[in-house]
Amino acid sequence: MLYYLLRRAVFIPVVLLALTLMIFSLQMTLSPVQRLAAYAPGPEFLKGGNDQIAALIEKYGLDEPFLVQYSDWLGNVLTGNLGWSETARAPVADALIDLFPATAELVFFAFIPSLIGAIWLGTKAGVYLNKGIDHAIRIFTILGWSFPVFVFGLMMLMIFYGTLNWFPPGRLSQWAEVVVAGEAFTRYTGVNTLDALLNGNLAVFFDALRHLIAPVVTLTYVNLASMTRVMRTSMLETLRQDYIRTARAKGLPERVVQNKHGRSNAMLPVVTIAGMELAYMMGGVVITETIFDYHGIGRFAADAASNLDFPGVLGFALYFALVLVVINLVVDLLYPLLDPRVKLR
Amino acid sequence: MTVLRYLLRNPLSLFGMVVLIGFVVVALFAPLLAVPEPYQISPYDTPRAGFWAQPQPPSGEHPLGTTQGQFDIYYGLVWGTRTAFKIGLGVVLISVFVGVLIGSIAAFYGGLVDEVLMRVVDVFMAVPLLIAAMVLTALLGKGLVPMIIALSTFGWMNYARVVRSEILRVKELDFVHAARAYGTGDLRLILRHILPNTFFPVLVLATMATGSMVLAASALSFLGVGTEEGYADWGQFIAYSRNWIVGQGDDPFAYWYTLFFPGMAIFLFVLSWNLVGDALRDILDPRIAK
Amino acid sequence: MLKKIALLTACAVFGPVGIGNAQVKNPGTLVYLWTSGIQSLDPAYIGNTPSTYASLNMYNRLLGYDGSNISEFVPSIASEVPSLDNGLIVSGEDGSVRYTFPIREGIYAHKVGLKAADGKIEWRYYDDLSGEERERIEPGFGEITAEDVRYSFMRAILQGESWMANAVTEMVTAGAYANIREWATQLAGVENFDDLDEADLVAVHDALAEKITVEDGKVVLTLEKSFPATLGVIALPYATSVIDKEWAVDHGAWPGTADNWVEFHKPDLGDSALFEQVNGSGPFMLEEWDQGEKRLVMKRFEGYMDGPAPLERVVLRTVPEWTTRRLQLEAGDADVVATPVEFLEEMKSRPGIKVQEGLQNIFGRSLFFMWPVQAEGNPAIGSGKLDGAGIPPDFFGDIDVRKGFNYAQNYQLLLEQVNLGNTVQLRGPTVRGLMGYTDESPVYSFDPEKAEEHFRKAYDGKLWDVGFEMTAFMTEGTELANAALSVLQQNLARINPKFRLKIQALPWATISDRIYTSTNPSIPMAYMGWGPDYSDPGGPLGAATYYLASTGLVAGFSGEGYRELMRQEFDALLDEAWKLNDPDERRPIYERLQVMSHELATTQFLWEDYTHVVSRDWVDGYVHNMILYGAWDFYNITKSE
Repeated sequence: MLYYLLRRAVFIPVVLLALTLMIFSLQMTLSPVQRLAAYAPGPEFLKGGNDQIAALIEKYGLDEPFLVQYSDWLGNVLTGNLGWSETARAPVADALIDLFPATAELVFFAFIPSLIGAIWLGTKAGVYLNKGIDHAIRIFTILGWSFPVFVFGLMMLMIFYGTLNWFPPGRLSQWAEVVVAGEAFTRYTGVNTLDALLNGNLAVFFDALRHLIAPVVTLTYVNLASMTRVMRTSMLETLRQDYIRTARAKGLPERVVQNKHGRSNAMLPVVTIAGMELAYMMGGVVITETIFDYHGIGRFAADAASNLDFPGVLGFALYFALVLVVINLVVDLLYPLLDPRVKLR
Repeated sequence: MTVLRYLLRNPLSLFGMVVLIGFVVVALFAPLLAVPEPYQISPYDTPRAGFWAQPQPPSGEHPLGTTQGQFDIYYGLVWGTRTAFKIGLGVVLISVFVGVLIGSIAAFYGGLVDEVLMRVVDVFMAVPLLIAAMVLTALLGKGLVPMIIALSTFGWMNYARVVRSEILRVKELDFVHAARAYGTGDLRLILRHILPNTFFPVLVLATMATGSMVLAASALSFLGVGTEEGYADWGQFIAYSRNWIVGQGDDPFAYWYTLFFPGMAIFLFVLSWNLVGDALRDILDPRIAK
Repeated sequence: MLKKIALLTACAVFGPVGIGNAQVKNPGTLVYLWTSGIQSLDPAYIGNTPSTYASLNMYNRLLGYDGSNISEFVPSIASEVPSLDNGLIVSGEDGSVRYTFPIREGIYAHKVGLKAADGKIEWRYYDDLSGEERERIEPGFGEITAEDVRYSFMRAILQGESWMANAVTEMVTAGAYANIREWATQLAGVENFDDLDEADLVAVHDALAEKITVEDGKVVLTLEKSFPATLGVIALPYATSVIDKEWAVDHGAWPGTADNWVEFHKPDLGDSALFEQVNGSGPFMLEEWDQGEKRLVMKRFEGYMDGPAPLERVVLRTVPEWTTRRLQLEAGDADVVATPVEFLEEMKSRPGIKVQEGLQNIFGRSLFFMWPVQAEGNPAIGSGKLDGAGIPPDFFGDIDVRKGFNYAQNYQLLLEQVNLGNTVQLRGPTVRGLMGYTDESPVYSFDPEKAEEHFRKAYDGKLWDVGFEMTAFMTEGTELANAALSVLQQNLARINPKFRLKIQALPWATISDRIYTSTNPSIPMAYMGWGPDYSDPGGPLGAATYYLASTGLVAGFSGEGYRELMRQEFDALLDEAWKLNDPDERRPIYERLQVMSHELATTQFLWEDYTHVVSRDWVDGYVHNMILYGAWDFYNITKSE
């Protein structure tokens, strides 16, 4: 166990180094003028013509050799300076810290129901293989991941906001924004629902919740669909194992067999997939965030990527790698708890 | 024979098979089903029926209507079938090739090689597909080829992992030990004995992924880094519907055709690959065999 | 128990169902949704229109634009608009011109300085002060004076960051220098800006200080020769915005010293001291600028010099998705939303929503011809020869090619179907309302026969026989550009099936790379639009110069062939017009230039750019001024209940 953790710890910096080198070398395939775009996002910034462009390239050191630029960047990162993101118009670290609570809040509310739902639906489908229930669940899940997310998102928005006016986009209503920005309200975490509870302001809490529902439902459905699939397959495999037959043969009630022996064993692969899903959600749900006007890390990363804002992209990559490491660690640690046969080496 | 019997017993799988064959037919006969206009530079550039900014409903001349900017939906969908196969098969074949190569080398040689290659996998895993693809397409420019490159660059890792773990499992099986005892060479051992045994899990995975690549492409189109404007690509056509999904005024279905037809095409494509994938798994996977 | 809580939650969440659309939401607050963002709050740093939403509303200039008028001014911080008649503009015998700006008294910024018990200055909101405290405001601290104006101008020029700050340099030196670096190096006689020593830096500072002086509490501007666009530049909501010197210095900005200004020269975006703090005298104060949420909130300044604004608060939010913006407008959660042109008709028919359309912008959209282009390894020109598989590098140097292209475009179609009748055809470098614009000049129209005639003449008929293949470029995501190029592509192929025009959309970064990296661009043709910075067509930043001078913006990237054409045909006339002072003498020259741009087919002029406003019908008071590129002055906006 200790060995396992140590080994993990050794490799993290290696992976991070390789990752940033890779992204950095991508950046270096661009000409200095192209890289300048991060600092001059539109034509109006280059009205000064060639002289101005040369000056800007010099200013940002864009024509320095690869290793010089990389080691400069790395040196800064090691001192805790991730650089300046022109997309966020803030230091990269500040931008990430600023946006993290929003993404975390959204993911928290969407992940738990999709995990529980997936396990439940997957079990049902596995048990009633090729029966009506199974077909219904399969179609439900295939629907969930054969339409682009934005189609669901826009439909949710149309029905629940456009027609019913229940769940508006954004994170808070205008009045609640004013309350939250006010002096009487302390922003402990940046997570609106939590902050509202800590401040004892139920009105803001419910307002934040109201804004969360539509993006959460959209995300839940999409994730639920892909995890249900895995659960169903895994359930099918498990139910054919010998010990299930043995359990049945012993005359245990079917319910116990399915839930205790079947489901708990079938959950292993789901845990792995769920870990990946969670990581990718934390990496930002670009499209959902765009549609529901929910400013989180995904939107930031996408803007940085399309503006070729490399400090932003690099910072985001570091953040995401970190999330991945933590989640993988948790998954690995969970494994032996769920399945006594697995030992960490 | 088993396949046929399975298909007959599982109407859903049969349906998937039929739909998939249908798509192949459409792709093959695209030049007959939707004839390109003489002035088109490439048959994949969807012709425009005028230049009105608003979509137009289905009519005699445009059986499925037109998108914003008057791209003919019928034409786009027919030629888009070819694009869908190109994206799906292109990305999956490249990814499978790279993944199998790396996964089998890692598993077979083990030790340091394994460690290094698996860390490479980790590096690639540590970039979310969409963001990575956005950076790459921003670098390479828009278009089908950059999109395929971007999607496969960050899409091979799963195959590598699956192949690696399958090989590790197979390696311990008796017949491999036996072959090795007879002095079979490394390459021969990998190609003749180990890979065939890991083939099925990869095949199943690949079949399922083929459909969803079209979906990833549509997400790229939504984010503005997909194919070129007007290129016959389902993803792009469904992205064209984004502003029209809510309809017009009190009629939410005023522009239903902008979403419905491209949406159905993608849905059926993904569905058919999935059903075929499920069927393959049920038939081929020895662990589930009945 | 659990179920009860769930039920309660549901009630609370679904509670506000059925809020009628007729009822005004968020009274007193204007919610404005757009797709843009603000670059910086430092008015001397910004260079694009969205950023002026902050500077226009939170700062004041010496002068303002008079309503929608682009060349008439109203007093603001200056108590009078200088003119020859009132004696505030004086021409010297040596050709120099003096502008005098008397300063209005009693203008305070949002935050003013009071001396605390320990002798330190404490910055407090003017609105929060009692009458007695207002008496104790430290003179000059938060009070706008002539010194503040002088400081603001000099700071902007010395900071030298944005294009608009350099426009002030250009104005102060009457067009002699484009920016402070050029001025400093030429004054010292050295090649590079880095070679300057401290004495040189002081020298250029002093030279600048002589041009902007304070006499008798008035700001005096002395230009060596006339610069007709001076007042126009001063009234623009960019680098001439007036900041309070004492406050700025106290908050880390340039302290007004001559020897170390270079430390404050060209700072990185976030390093400018005024990047995220504001202390202007404008009608609104900064309440919050949340970069993560992409939201700017401005609050009413009660102590505004012309009385408080009707709106209590203005919220600007970046919402990229149209459907999201639209639904928020329909629900009344937003009051104004940026709207794509194809939804105007529909929005007009929605209850409670009003649309102002066809608002003019000050520039047009065009397809620019460039020649010669990079000959080596340039895929945009195919084989690089006139052999049917490419074009020669100076393809567009042949006037018949340019004319053929211009007759092959269907302008009417673009106006009707693509722009849905919101604008008119562009006739040359200027748009309606600018000096020198004439609607009597000839324009091109779609005429396949004329096009064929010119194409047959081009390259002695060889072009017609072998055809061509080339790539035209546009910035990604602009559907209008794609439409314009597609129409041309189709028409060319119909005129002669051997004419193959390919279209490629690239990110702006790549386009700029291809037009700027070397002496010659590598793009033969591109869709763009460039707007002038003041209404006068002449001078370094005017529309006619931009398009038709060999030193102009367009010539800068259009290749040596284009520049040579400008040198031969246009430069002399442009110089002549700029030297004249009398508008009646200048106008005919600019009109002539417009006609010539058509005769020589310098560019394929497409349509005038335009904008529109889609808002709830309870929003009133927007005045469109095209020189401000449609930026909103929220002071006059009302939201009725």
